[in-house]
Amino acid sequence: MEDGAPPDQGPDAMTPTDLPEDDAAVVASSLTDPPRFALLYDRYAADIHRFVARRLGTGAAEDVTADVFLAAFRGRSRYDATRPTARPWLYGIAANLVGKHRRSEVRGLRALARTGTDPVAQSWVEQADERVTAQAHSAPLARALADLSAGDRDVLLLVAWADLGYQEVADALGIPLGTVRSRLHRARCQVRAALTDHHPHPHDTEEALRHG
Amino acid sequence: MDEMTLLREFRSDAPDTAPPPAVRQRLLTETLPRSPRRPWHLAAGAAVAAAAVTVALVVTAVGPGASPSAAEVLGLAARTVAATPVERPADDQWVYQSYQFAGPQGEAPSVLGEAWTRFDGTEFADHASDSTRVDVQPLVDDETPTPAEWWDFLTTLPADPEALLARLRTDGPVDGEGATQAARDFDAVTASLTNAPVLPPQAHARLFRALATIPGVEIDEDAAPDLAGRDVLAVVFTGETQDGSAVRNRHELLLDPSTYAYRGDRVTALEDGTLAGGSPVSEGERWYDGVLVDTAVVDRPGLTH
Repeated sequence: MEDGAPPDQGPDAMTPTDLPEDDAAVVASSLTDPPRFALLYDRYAADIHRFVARRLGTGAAEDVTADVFLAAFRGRSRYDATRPTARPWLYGIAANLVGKHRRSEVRGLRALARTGTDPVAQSWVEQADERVTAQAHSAPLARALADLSAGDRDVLLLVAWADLGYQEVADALGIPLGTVRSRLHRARCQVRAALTDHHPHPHDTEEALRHG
Repeated sequence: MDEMTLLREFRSDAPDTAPPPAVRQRLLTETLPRSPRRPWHLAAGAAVAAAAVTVALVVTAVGPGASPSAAEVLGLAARTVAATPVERPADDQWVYQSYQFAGPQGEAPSVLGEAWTRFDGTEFADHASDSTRVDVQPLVDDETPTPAEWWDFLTTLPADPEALLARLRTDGPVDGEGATQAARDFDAVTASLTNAPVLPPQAHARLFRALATIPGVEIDEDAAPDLAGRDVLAVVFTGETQDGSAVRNRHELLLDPSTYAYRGDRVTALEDGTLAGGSPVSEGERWYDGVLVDTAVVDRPGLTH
């Protein structure tokens, strides 16, 4: 624990400006002073919440965001102290928890592809009867995302939406760097192909061939 | 714009705010083990995320019965596959598949690859196009039925074609798409033949017999060779075969002319129009073309036979 840390004033007194420590130091100090872990929440909850909301909608995003930080808190003793930023770690947990809602995620994407209306975007529009007009490329894009394998989609969205670098994605998902590259390459090719020919598959042949 | 730019814009209007304070409180409660646990009841979001999509009910058009040649050819196909023994693979065996898809407008194949799926669906393996090192990954995907789930579902299909089609409509792993009941039934049957990597022989035969009863299904014994250059027999359905599309298509389910094994699918627009998803097609454009080049049940990933 850094000796510059002020005495515990209760969780509500903590803000990022009070403690200019890096994330690794915060995690380390939370081992003896658990409420300090809330500092990581204050730093990253908005980012994680946005990432999950974009995949599952805002309703599920609240629960999943809570679960991400609870899981991180419970697993904090295994945090790699050589990594100053906790972003990849938290996004990795988020990606894994989103995976438990995969059926819902794919269903939302397919609904958008079929109907042009996005049930996920609907979740953050105040008037439920005010239909969100999807962008021109949304339908083929949604279809392509739905057709990606789970692992490929995770890598693609961590790069595109979480702005993680390749090594950070590898750290987040616990996979080799080469796997990140090949998954990203494959995912980008498939999305590009879907956007180039703009054509839906007759009935998910490609996904079936990849997944069985 | 490239695909990453479009992807970054997709749903970019999502809120960038932290969740409500209750979520933070829930974490803080957890960090204070001696404090009384409070029952943080967070609104379940599933109802919003899973907003039901209502699909307009289309009255089934009464069409002519399938041509005699469909009944004849698919009857022979049914007898052939029923007489070819296929055992249910072991859970730890793998299904090898290699596949090929046509690029847009007759360009070189956009996707050409091979992959292995463990029969019980717990693992998936493939390799990058520039490498032969097979990369095995856990497969956590509750959306797509596993090979074992497909096999087990198909063994429950009834023999009666009408009952079989009804069963696919209510319990099938893939919802048939299309503007008419016949189109949806054709799609549901071909989806089963396409997506199930290993088919129980009796179910395989029953699917063929059911296919023959769908109004409008025809046989083309002189179909053009498939993308891999092989002679094929085409089971053809003509109609509006895509949800949300108003284009008449010719959908060809491609089979091996002697074993009747699944070879691929191709779809050709019969008129100018707009496909589901909003992309334009012109008359005669073959807008989907994919083939299963090879498949086998093997003992470990990396093996092809």
